[in-house]
Amino acid sequence: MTDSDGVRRRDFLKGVGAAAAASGMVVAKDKDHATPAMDEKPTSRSKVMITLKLNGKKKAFEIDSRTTLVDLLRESEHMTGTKKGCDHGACGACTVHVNGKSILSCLTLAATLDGEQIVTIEGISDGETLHPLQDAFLRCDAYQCGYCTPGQIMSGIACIGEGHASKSSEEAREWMSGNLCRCSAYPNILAAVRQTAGAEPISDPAMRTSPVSKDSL
Amino acid sequence: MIPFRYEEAQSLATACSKIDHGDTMAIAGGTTMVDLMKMNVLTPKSVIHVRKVLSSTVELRDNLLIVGAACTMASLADHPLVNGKLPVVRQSLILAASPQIRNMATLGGNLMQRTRSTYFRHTDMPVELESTQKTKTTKTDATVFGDGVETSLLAMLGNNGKLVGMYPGDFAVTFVAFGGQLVLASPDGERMVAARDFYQAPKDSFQYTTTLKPNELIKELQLPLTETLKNSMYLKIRDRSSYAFALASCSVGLHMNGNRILAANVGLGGLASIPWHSAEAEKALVGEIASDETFARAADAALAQANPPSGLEFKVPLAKNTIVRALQIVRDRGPLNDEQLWAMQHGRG
Repeated sequence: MTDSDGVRRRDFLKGVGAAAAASGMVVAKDKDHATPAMDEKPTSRSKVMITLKLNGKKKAFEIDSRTTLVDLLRESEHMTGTKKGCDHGACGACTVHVNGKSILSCLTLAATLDGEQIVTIEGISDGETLHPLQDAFLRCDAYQCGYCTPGQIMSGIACIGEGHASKSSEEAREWMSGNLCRCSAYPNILAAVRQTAGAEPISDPAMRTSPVSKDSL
Repeated sequence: MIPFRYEEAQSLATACSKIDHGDTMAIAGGTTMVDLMKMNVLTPKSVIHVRKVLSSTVELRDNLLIVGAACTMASLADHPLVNGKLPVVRQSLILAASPQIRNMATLGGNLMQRTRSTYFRHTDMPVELESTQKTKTTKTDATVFGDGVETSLLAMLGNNGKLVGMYPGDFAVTFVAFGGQLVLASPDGERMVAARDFYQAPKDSFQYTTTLKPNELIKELQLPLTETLKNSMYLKIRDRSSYAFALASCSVGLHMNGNRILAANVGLGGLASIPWHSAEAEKALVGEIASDETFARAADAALAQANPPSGLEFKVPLAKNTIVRALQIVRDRGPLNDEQLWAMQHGRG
């Protein structure tokens, strides 16, 4: 995605980081607090070769055995749509699909996925045509800061696909409960997911004239 | 994470021969293991991926539900043999963790879940908490037994009077309560062990141990299809209504003739060092009329040995009420379907 002046947001952020480093703002590594073993260089014994089908494209990787899927996506592939939130499986920001199932990419060693099909937030739109759930998130204003959004959308697609979004709102909430939103946009996220599933009429929750029903909270 | 050698298992036998659960560990779903490796709590030199050499099927054989150890929590919960048929099994799976974790976690790994206590999960924390018991002199038991200690994830049953980690899982509670058996594979062959014998309450360690030996892996889970299993439920009480560990939970099943109890199963979660089977509660139920008084006596019997560290006293009445409420629901409403379960979980009936 590009801005009107052609500057990519990520390139801009990288530039800011480089400037900070050049001006000495980055604090030197605190040797006292580093676990000695953490500095150990990976040996050739810890290299692993894998092949993934990533958003439909087959690709081979040589990785360190410790590489989690989220790090592979963000650091090796520069696919930064998948977010690293807690890195401990508590927040769901890193949710992607493996063989059609939603999983946490932060708790998945990439080495264990040799030969599997991965779909990330970058792989769900059809060119410039957004996925219906992406459209619904825009329509419903289902975010504030947006950091949890890619994970919410990947969980939402699975939730809808498995039939959990079209029954009671409690069931949809249960099947979305692995994704936290610190901005607490939950009512709008729920509306986006349920509208896309056809369980609620298409609308912008902010335009509702009647009081918000208890069922949608 | 400390560097480790990674290997894809070529066969179950060769994997077993290399795995010692110490320097060489097995990985399947990885949901707990990768987390603990990131925190340097687990520092294996070698990790062997065993998921592809273990079965993930679910089938019926000789009135037993047979589950391959690589079956995920989500697959078992959704399986036609379980969904709509064995309520306590489905409920103790879908009320655990999050959808993503249930898609990843295998049943074999789930049974081996480690305690969530920070005294285990943080490498800077002293794990040898039991030493505080040995040094007690003039202090009362109550102050020594939890003074300045974060006890929220510690055990109040099966703790031998020590500060030990609580077993946090849900499905294993059902598995021990309803008499599950494990098939353990090793290069020497296979052996069966009852889930109730598999888990060993800690004696000198901070958390439970199992009878799993080096070179052994969980290959299969077997659950007898009893009458109680069909008329059952898993009630989970927690700080928030989903994606949280249990403050107290119970797996219960009743086989009734009229209002008389012919057979009962009771397991407790969120309370003990191991997934807790309460033979005492079952004894108080079997042969009796299914009255609230009987249920209260069963709950008292289940918690008679409770020894809560400071700060966990509230869990004794909480656990008793959880047991009574679960038994009442099974008696009065029968097994709940998903819709009824979500309504109850979210305070709508």
